[in-house]
Amino acid sequence: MSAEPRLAIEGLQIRIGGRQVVDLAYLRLGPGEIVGLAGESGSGKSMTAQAVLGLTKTIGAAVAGSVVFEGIELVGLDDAAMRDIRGRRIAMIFQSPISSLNPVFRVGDVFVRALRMHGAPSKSEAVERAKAALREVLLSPELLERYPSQLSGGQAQRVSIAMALALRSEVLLADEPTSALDVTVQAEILDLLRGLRDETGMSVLFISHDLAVIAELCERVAVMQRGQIVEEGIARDVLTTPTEDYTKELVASVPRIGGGAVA
Amino acid sequence: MNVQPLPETVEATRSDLVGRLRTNRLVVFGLSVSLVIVLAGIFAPLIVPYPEDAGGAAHPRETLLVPSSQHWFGTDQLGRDVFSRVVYGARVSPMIAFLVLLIACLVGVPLGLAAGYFGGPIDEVIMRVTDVFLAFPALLLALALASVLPPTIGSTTIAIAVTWWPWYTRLIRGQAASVTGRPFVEGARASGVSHARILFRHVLPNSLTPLIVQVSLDVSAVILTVSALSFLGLGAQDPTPEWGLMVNQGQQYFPGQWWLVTFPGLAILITAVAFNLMGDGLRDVFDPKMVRRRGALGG
Repeated sequence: MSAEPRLAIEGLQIRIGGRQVVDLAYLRLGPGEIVGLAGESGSGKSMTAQAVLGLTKTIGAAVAGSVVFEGIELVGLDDAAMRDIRGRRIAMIFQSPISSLNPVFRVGDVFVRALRMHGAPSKSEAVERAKAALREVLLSPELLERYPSQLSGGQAQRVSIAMALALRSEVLLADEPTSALDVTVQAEILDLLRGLRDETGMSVLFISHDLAVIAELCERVAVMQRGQIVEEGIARDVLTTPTEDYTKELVASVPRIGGGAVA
Repeated sequence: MNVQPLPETVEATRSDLVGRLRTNRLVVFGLSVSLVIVLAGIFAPLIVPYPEDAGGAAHPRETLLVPSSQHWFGTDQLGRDVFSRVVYGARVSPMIAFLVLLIACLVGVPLGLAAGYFGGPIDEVIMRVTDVFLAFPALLLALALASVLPPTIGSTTIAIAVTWWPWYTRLIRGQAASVTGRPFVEGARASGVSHARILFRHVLPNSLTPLIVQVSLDVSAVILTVSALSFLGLGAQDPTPEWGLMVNQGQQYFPGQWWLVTFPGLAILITAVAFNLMGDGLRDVFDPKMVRRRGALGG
């Protein structure tokens, strides 16, 4: 692995109302790397991603430990500095792509506003960049005129990804981005993410409970259980020959046709 | 597999809304009458035959005349033309209602937004304060306030606004809390949008619908409250042509000089009904479920 990770999480502890929900010893994300974060519901995967962007404060969680992004300590960073990183340098995409977009705004309104907020010099420049980004994710620039309710799930997820792309985000936190999509659309989104990584060197933290998807997309995988990482390594190795009991159980729980190995 | 919830907001196009408004006759009626009342207030000096009678004029030789072609609604105990005073009254009560609702929204909405969005201790503090205000019967609180403030229109406005804002805080708080739980708010946070901007650009527009309906329904309630306070002598004072006050003053001449009470009373009634119908119509438009129920009943 490259010497300098782009994002390094160390000793991250998240408490909600006195209960420890995440205790993550070490997780690193190198430049241009796609790392999977697997685990069952409630294992702390999403909470970890939210803590990276300092989004856990609003739900009353206390965060301790260290999250270093390109030399910047994100834990305890003040809100103004954090806002500059959110969306622009570290982007996040979500499980339900349509409801992640405000229904009262057109796609273009949100897109242009985000670009303006994060440094596009003029509105026309922002519109051009938005159109270019939509083309890169294989969507028609006309989508800027639509409301979120007029998009399909796959289109909406592409819009979210296009936003990260247009802002030249260095890290993408993808929180179950394909779980709400059907399998063919899911495959397209995975292709898209991989292509963008190859092109732009974006690092992706891919959170999913779907081990087949992780095996297909990620180089490395970390398996979480009850807020802790129980196993970590090269994705294919971990998922084909798991060493920990929990990982074995997870792998065994994947339904498959004909009983073959995952992926 | 996670089921994608349908967005709750109805994205009706503008022409849709206008179309649905038009098909409901009562609403058209309510809207038209409300408009006529507002216009009558604005253009009162051009409409009425005796504009000076709206103020402190007195015509000792023309007191208590029965309605005639010269004085459509008759004259009052000071010889003032009742028609002129009733039309000028359209400037007073609706204006107070507008100011009361504006103040109530300006105070109540931001508080409700903050309570619903931030939750926790902020929510607790704001909602307990509104509870204190809501614990008093509204009219009683307004009465108490109006009786300690000097009896002017400004005092009436303040007294009613003080009792009105907590309802809007409650209404908006519930809406804001449910909107805050929707994924696009987290999405906006994750894109680096500030709290203030999320509150006013993302949460507020998605919480407004019930507020618009409530405010339009409340217009008539405020007008009735204004009239009630004036009737009790705690609101506008003579010579202000306030409808409730006119009813109060005409009382002693009823039923002999019935026109003193009847015409301002009718003005209150018609205004209240018109604004109520308008509010009802807006609710129907924004809540299609109600329309359907109506359609089933009324055909």
